[in-house]
Amino acid sequence: MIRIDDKALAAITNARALLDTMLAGGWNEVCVQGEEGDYFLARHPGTPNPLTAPPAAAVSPAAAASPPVQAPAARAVTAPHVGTVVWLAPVGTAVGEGAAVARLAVLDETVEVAAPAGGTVTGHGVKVGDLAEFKTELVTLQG
Amino acid sequence: MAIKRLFIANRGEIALRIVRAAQTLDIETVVAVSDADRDSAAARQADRAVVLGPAQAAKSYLDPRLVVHAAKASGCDGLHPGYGFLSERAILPTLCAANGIAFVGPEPDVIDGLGDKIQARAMARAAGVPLVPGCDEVKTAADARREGDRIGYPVLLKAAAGGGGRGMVIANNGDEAEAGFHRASAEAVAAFGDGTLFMERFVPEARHVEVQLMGDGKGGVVHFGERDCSVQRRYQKLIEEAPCAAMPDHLRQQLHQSACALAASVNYRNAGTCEFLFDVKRQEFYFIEVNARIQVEHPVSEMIAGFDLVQEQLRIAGGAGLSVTQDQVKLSGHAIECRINAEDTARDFMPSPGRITRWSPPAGEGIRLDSHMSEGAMIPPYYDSMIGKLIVHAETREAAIDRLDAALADFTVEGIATTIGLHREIINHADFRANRIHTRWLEQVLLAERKGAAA
Repeated sequence: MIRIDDKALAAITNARALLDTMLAGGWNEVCVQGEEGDYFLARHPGTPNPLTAPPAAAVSPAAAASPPVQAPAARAVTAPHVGTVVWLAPVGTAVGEGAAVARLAVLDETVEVAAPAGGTVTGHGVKVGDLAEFKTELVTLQG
Repeated sequence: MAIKRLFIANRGEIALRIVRAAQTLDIETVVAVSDADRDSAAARQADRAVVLGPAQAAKSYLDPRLVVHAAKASGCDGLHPGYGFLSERAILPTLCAANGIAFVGPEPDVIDGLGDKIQARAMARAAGVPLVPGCDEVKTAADARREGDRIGYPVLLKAAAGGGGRGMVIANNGDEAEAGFHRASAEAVAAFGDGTLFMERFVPEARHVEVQLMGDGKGGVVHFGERDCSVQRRYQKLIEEAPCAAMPDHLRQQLHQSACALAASVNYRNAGTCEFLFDVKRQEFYFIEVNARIQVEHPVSEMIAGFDLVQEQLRIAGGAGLSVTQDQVKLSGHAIECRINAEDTARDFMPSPGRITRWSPPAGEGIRLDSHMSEGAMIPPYYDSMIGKLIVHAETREAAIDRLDAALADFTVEGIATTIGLHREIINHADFRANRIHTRWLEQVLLAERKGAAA
């Protein structure tokens, strides 16, 4: 369920205005970076596309030495697409970032769902054998 | 085995249309949705909705594995693909067959064969369906003149090797064919290293006419008359009518026979459409292609036939034979459909997504609206901009136009831009009323006049 509130309507209006400006002003490229995705558009010849630029240089040792302070938080790991749950990491399992916390079957293929960050599995949102839909919570990770 | 639970792999008005047809036949329904369509009319109407993936069609409606998995896992024994999306991709019926699901459409090899332009032309030729007169190999200027004389002018010359409009020449007589050959051939050599040209008759003012077919998969085929879809913009149909009032009866019969012969020759199963170019001046028609699915404009045929094509699709996919014989198909009156799009016609048909703040559709005798919209509904920006189809039926074409005009005038939509106003301009134009239109009429005449008036 998507709720379109005033904020979202304002965003749509802004996006329309932006597109209108682009069309009127001969723009063909603009750079937009947001949570949902990155878009690069700029007026020719424009700036280099940051989305295809080589990755930034490795973090310097000095910066790496001070780890970010993070409060342990619960985080839901959700299904990236529809699929039948065939395995869930047991509650209490400690996983590192990128480790599998669930497996979904799509026809005869099995797809791993990875932990977006390290933590401990504290709960299951589904059971093995369930059909998980897109965005269904599979497991809860703590910390 | 009749279908018990149907998976609808589509969205918008057609998903709702299919859900309702299935419910009439006491078939349970599960509709596939993307994240953007969780709250769609079809999702609310169906017994269940399954969210496949995010809003982007490539990760939801266009992923055949996700679609078939969701169908199977939700216990469906039938799958209707609607139109667009995966409806004409052979992978969908292939995966359905491998998973014990009845596909509401033709066999995968029929989809592949008809989907390939060259194969489809060969099938049409074999079934005795007329093709645009042409010649595949024009090697010299003398060839060009001789073939042009044989085919009849104007003719179109283009590189046999390449696609697109590159090096395309239109010749109106033998001298132009020779001169055109030299020009187009030189361009073809430069572009493709091969100066051989392809020539076919050019029809400057053609109508798009198509026959609605239904096959049982065992060679049985019935037709539900023809439709005239000549009001187009950039090859997109805007208005469709049934029948094609511009076609004389003897030609109409040949048209129907041609379409049925082609469908029968491939044991066509389910609903399909055979599309033709109608050269009004010459009173000839030529095969274009077969659309192996239910089409957007199927309601105009339903209105003149008084027959539900989607329900028939579901019965046939469930193993039943055709429920009518050709003799039982009775066509009467005239029907016209307008595709109402959320587009701003004053700004080059820019899509106008957003929230519908007021929705007050027309209703009454001979008026049908196929739409998934309502007041407060949201039009997401990810998909096509069609918000509904307004269809009218009346005794004659003239009466149908009057009824349509009144219905369009009575149709209030606020919050977004729509094509309702343009439809009224089209159907009240002298050329449309007199039925003097062709596939390029909208762009060359009406929209050009509009631009002129705005300047």
